Amino acid sequence: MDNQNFESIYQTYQNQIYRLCLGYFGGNSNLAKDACQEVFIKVWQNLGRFKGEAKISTWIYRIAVNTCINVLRKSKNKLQTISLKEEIAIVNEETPKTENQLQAMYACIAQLKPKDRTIILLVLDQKPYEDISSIMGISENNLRVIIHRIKDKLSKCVQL
Amino acid sequence: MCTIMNFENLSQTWQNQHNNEPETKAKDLIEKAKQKTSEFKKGQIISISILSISFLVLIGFYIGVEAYQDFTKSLGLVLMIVMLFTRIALEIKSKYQLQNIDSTVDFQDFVARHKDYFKNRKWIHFVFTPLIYILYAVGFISMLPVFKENLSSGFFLYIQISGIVVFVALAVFIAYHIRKELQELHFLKKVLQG
Repeated sequence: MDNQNFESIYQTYQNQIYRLCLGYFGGNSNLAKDACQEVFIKVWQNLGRFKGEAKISTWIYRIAVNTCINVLRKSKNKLQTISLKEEIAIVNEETPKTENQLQAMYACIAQLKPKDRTIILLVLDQKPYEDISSIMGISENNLRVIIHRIKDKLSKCVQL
Repeated sequence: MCTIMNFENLSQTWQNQHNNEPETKAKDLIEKAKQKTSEFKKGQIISISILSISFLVLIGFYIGVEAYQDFTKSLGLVLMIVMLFTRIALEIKSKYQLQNIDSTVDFQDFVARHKDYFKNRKWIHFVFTPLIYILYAVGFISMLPVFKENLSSGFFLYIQISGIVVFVALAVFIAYHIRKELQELHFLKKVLQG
């Protein structure tokens, strides 16, 4: 195993993957840290099998979204969505506006279905549609329709 | 007053957030990954050992009590041995099928593979397990006259009571796991539907 190669991958993608996990688990940093760690353990375990058929970033993001859905599948509360009112309650006037907006975003993203949640997190991370299509296994045309719908939903949900 | 946010603003906010990223170093992660790989290999060895030891113990018991001398009487014991071995083997095979699902495929494919896995598990839960359970019970019941003939009345009573307790406990344990896995299948179906 090429440890140097892994270290460079880890340095490049650690923050992005952690942010993805954080968004996926409603801002829960403990869950996000564990999931992020699991992602990179899988990256290390599978790196020898990477043949360069896809971009390395696409390949890593596939592992990340698959790991997140697996963590969610194993969790006891997989079919429950976080109560929006409770989450929004933590947003108050004393907190700076952007922080309020961010907290509202976490709460609203956590309300989305797992597939929509994954897609919108990739969009927020400014991944090109071509890459999202390859990560998700959804055609670009379908993806455009889905993304339009989720963007609309998220914008309406985050009300300040 | 509520304001509906523009998506571009949201995207900007998302990009500008500052998180306390995990402090784990790449070297520590490599160590953890190596440890996990070694644990997986150890787990495989342990599983194979459990299977082999179970088989040897049961065969040893079969030979030890000279059950082969009266085949009709020992048929129940053979049935119990084969059923127990089959159930353990099925569970171990299933466990590795789940662990070996490729994490590097796209999301839809990954979820579909898990869904197929849990769908196949329904065969184990609703066809093989009840069949194995019934045949094991038949084997146990058919052995009761042999136990009565060869064991003290106290020990025979103990075998009867513990037998019933084991059957009930197993049924509860299996039902709990079936319910849990059906929930997982339901979840995966919902994910695929979008």
